[in-house]
Amino acid sequence: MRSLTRSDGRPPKWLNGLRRKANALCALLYVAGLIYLACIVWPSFNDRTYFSENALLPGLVDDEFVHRERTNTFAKQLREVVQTRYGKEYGMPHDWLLEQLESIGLEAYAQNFTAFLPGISGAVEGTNIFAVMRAARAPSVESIVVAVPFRSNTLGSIGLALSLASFCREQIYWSKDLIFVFTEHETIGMQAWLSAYHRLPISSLKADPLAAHGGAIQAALALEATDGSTPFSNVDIRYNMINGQLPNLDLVNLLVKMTEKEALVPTLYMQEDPHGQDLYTEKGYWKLAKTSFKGIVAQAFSRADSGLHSVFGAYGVQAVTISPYGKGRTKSQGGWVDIGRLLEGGLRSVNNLLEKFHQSFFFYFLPSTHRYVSIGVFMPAIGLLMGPVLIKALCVWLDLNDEGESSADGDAKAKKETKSESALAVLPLITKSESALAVLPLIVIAHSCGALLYFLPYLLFNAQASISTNDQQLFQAIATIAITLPICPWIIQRNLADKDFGVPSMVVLRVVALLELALIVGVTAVLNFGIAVLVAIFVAPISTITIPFRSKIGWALNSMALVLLHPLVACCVALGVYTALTVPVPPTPSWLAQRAFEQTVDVTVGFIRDSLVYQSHLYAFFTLALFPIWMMFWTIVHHRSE
Amino acid sequence: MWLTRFLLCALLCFHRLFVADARSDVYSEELVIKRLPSQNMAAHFRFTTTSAELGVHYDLFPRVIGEFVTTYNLSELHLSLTQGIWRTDYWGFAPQPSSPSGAQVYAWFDGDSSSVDERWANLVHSLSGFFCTSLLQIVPGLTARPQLSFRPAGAVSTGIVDFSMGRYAALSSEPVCTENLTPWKKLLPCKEAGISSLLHPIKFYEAQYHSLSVDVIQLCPNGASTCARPNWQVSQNLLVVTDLPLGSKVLNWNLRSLFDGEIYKKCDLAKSSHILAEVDDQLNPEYSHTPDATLKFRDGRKFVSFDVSKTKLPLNVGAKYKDRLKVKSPNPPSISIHSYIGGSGQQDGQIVTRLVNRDEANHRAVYTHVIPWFLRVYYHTIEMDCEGGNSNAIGEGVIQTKKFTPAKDRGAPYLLELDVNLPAQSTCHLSIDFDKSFLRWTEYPPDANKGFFVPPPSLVFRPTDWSNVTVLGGQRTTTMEELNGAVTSPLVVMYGEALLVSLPTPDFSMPYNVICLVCTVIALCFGPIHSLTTKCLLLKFEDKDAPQTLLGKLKAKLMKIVDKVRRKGKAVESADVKKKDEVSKKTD
Repeated sequence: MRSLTRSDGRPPKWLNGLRRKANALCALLYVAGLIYLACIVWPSFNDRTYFSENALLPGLVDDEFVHRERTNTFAKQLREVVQTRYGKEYGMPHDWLLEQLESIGLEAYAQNFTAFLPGISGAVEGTNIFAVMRAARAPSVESIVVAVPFRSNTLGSIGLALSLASFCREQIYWSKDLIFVFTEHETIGMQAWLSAYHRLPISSLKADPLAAHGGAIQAALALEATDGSTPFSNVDIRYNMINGQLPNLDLVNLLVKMTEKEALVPTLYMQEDPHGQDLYTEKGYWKLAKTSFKGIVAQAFSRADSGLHSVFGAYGVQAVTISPYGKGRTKSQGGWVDIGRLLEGGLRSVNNLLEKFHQSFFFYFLPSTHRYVSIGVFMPAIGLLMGPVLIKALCVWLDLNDEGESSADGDAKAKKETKSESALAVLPLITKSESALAVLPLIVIAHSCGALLYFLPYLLFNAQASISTNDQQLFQAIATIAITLPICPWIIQRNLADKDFGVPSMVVLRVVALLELALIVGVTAVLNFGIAVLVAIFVAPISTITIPFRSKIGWALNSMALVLLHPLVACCVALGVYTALTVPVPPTPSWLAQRAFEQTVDVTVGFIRDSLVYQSHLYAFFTLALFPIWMMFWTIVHHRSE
Repeated sequence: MWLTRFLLCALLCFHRLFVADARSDVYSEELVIKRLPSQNMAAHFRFTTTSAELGVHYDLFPRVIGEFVTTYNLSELHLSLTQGIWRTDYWGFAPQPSSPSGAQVYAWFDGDSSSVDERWANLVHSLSGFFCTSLLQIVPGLTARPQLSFRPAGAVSTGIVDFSMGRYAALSSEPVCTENLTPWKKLLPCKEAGISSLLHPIKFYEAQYHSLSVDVIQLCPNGASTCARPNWQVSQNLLVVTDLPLGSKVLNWNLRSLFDGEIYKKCDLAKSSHILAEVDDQLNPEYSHTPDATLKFRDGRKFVSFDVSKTKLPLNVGAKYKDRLKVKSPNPPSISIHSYIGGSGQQDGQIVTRLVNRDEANHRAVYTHVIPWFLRVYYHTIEMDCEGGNSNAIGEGVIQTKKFTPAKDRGAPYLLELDVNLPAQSTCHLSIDFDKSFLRWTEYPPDANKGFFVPPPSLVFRPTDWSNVTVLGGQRTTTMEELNGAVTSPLVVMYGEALLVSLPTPDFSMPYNVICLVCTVIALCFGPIHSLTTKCLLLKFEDKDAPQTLLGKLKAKLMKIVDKVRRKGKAVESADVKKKDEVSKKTD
């Protein structure tokens, strides 16, 4: 790295070249990044999935689950019980489930929980039913969880789980306890159960302690099949967990293999793989690209509503939801028993694990069920996309230095006779540090605004826990503040007359904002590639060109772009575009706008709810990281120099 | 002729007399079969050999055990190897002496206290070798010296328990299988006759729970705590719990169905040889043989006994039931203990133990937990919160005495002994926080990602209700003796679940390398980039008069030095002048 410094302290020659060609280079890198991203989806640039952990293979032997009758009986009885007790308004027959589980030889327990959610008046109360199948001879140090949500349309799945439990109880090969969990209120119930299992209390979710444990949970399989979707032709494998966490690739791969063994077609995001001969064709490529894009978006905005598995990530448990569905007119047709065999195979494989999942990849995205792009392949894309931001920051900083230097040069000429070297040397520093200090309040204000936005729901929620706030009100409060806050730096700029926010200080602010953006995206990319790459694609180019404009048109265009990047606006626009693309009939603009707005409300409140109940960091990421950066750029654009 | 006959006869008689005199060792065997509250069948084998003296000659007392005792100067020895866990909530209190999952060894020594550690280490090695176990890792990292529990069960030579003489260790990761059963069986005087002929490994190792133990204690006549010449007793216990017949739902049992064998020969060496079965009244069993006796116990419990030495062989005792299996909800006993790990992640966690007292009265109990050193527990985080029951009793859910021995890295485990009061009808959570430590990379076992075992905590208490005690008898007495009126120890020891903790485990594959590489690159880049972006550029004025040639430069340097020296000289002179001035001023 000697090339960056020279003995005389001047920057090396190539740096000057870089500075001269910076804009072209930035554009080139950005485009290269996009092309790179597009390329890694192509099968030649990624690999086929493979089993890293050999211990998982035994599940692929002959399955033994054949209890069609038993499965149907359980489901039928459950339907009757629900029908007779609750009529059309479904409810969970807790005692019936407990009784059934006990009669097949499991230890069955109930757990009550109460959740207080923003946007929902009153408390959400529910009861989870769970049963532990103790492995004979094992000292209950490890366990596998099978989770099924209780819903009016999952009674068949519960019937299957019961029949699978009774089948598993009769087998003698278990080395880990199996825990069957039937949750009420979907993931809220699951989260209540998990937080009690690990004794990690959540303030907005009061859960009773559990009466039984099964040791360290090695893996979890969630089953979610809608009643009436038989015969099954496909199995959708959902693997995105909250905060962009992903289960070990081995587990996903295992379920893909098990599905194929049952002659069903595995899908990701309801999207089938391209057929073998199509793989290297354009048609195949678009399929791969679509699945990849869906995967990236799903990882970026992963919510708890994608399945019970999504809340396991925070507890370090590898979990996947399998959701069989039928398309009707396909060749492959499967019933509940096939799904039972699929689960049996999955459980037997995990049961055979000697160590916890650690072999295969944790950071990846999947273009198809059989191909993966690993972290080593996709990270350069982030480097290429964020390169311009860093280069721009460096160039702007060095330019600032030069400005100081040139002024110092001028002074030097004037004062050459005096030859007071020391006084000259400090001059550029003063210019820099002064402008750096001058922008400090602006930086602090931008971040405080983010913090305010972040804590707002908590403040509102705590103050009004007793008063019912609905989604609309909560959203309105947040939206009002998020939209009015950008005026803040403006006012301060105006009012702090003694502070001279000259162009140099705006340039310093620009450097700070660019560096912060690069840092945040770089760090996030390791944890959650999806959101990092989306931010990099959409925010990086606009942030790179944001300067304190002097021309009106440039200013207007840049402001426009920034308005579009405002997290709320961006969310609304993205949802609008998505709806427009997915709705079969071309919608009217007014309907579309209304729909987009409604969805924005849903998503925003959903993020807040997720952060309160599931420890999702999305809301924090938007408010504490992205919003302050956005505010800084906003300030730069709206700088008025006299 | 008749004289020789007479002499021979006399000699034989003498010999008989002599041998009978020499046979001071007493061997008795019993098998207790019981239907547990959950309907599982439990079978408890108990083989007891007592000897007056351990020395050069051994009769029935196992010589190996005797040599352990004499070589290491033991006062007591307890070893248990267990597969599975005794499920107290479903099965009632575990038969005493009870044992935790995995292996457990504890011993009390006599003699010189300074050599106890060395003798303990050698004893563990010997036991490990003899019983084909891998106990070696308990020395010294898992060895504790308990004070409140695991006290000597038998007589102590000095009469006073010296805590420095006891050593305790448990190893939950120890797998138990046939290779442990074979040496254990070798200790018995009758291996292929009597009750021991039922010891077939196949049935034992497909059972729900299986535990074998060896307990060596000293006994004084009339149960005194000390005496001049105590007897040595080795009792070998084997406990099996079979699975529920969920498929067939048939409750019938017999020796063949339980153990895959019958008794074909009786053991002539045994003083008593009994098969006892507890009568489950509600189910009305029909026994295949007429019992030799029906024995009654407290709380209306009834046992039938079959004397193997008197019954016609082959013997296949069994019972038939008209009822079919109906799985019932558990009726847990008055006290139960469950332990689990709280928290998630690689940094810290919490050991939580749930203690439930369903009794109407408060209970005192001693909680003991040996925690390996690699979990760094915090003493100040010990917390016990109780809920349920009546509100005034809650305040009494307190820890009366805390005994805490800190760990030494790689040297000794933490030992936590708490004397707690469990309020009536309450559920208490006892928790202690820990940090996970980094091990040296050579200390990780093969399959390091499995996690690390923490031995289960134990709870010792005195039950008031004896209906939950599964099998009668204890360390000192057999079931038969207790049925005939002997008093057994009133204490019950129960164990929680063993815990599996995953420590931060290095991964030497790709991600680890990536991290190393990235860190290196960052470290290399930081300096230059920092200096590039923060160094301030100074103007340098070129001195046109400066000499260009090498000789000229040297000359200039020389001149500089000369100049310096001159200046110094001047300074000194001026200082001298100043001093002189001052002096002159003063004199003025």
